[in-house]
Amino acid sequence: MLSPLDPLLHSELRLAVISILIGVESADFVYLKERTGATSGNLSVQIDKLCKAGYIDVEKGFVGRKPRTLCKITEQGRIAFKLYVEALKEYINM
Amino acid sequence: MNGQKSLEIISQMIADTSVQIENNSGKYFLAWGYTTIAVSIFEYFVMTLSLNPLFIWAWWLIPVVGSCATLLLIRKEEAHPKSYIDRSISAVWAVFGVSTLFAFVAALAYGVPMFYLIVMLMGMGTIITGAICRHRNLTYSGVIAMLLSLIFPIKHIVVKNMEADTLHTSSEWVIYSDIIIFAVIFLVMMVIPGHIMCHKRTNR
Repeated sequence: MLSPLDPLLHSELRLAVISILIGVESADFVYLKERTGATSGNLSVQIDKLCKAGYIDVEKGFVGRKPRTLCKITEQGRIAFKLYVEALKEYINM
Repeated sequence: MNGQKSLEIISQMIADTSVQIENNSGKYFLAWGYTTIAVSIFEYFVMTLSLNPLFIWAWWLIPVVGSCATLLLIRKEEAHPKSYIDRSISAVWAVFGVSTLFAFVAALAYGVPMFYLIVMLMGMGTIITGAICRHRNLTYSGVIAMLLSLIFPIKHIVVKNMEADTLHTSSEWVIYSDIIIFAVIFLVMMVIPGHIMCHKRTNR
């Protein structure tokens, strides 16, 4: 029987965000918006969902006078991503 | 979304990010290198022309101006992901920066050879940074700087022997030429590799 794919990660934008964060220490909102090509509103909603699930940490601060939102993947997020990729392999080898 | 599409997203995002996380230390090397050279040239002229020992305090312009320039560059930095490389390099320079300040204070208080110690410490920081972000030019320039730092003790021995032979003290030019050597070493250690790093990044 195939493992189920995590529904939280099985969405284009959320998967893109997690895939970026898996390889870095942190990335800010502007960078994630540029890389994913998402709108600010949509990206905010998806980041909020990932944050509520405990997959990422969100830190709000300032650089000079500019506000900055910094996103980091959590250990729980790393495990979820790993399980998602393993489940994905099963589907592809099916 | 099917499995194939998921894989495409994952591989594309990881590939894009790995290009972006290349470290951009070049501009920081330029800021510190040019600051050190400018302050050294200023020091050389005021020390040789005025011979006022109080001007030794002008060396503090290097950490003050260098830190301000670093803060400005951080503020102007484009949005890019922070990697473990960035964190490692920041930690390296925090340690070497504080050590250099301590070396400078020790030099003022005890007459420890300031230029030699500072070049050695900065050279080590440069070599480690080059190794972390895989910039060979930076590693080589750090090694060259450390080798060039040997000029200071060698010059000291040569000048002492000459003074002992001739029973004359050296001229100001000989005494203060250390400052010019110091500036030249910073040109080799920070400015040249800094320009190479920035040039490579712009061309990419």
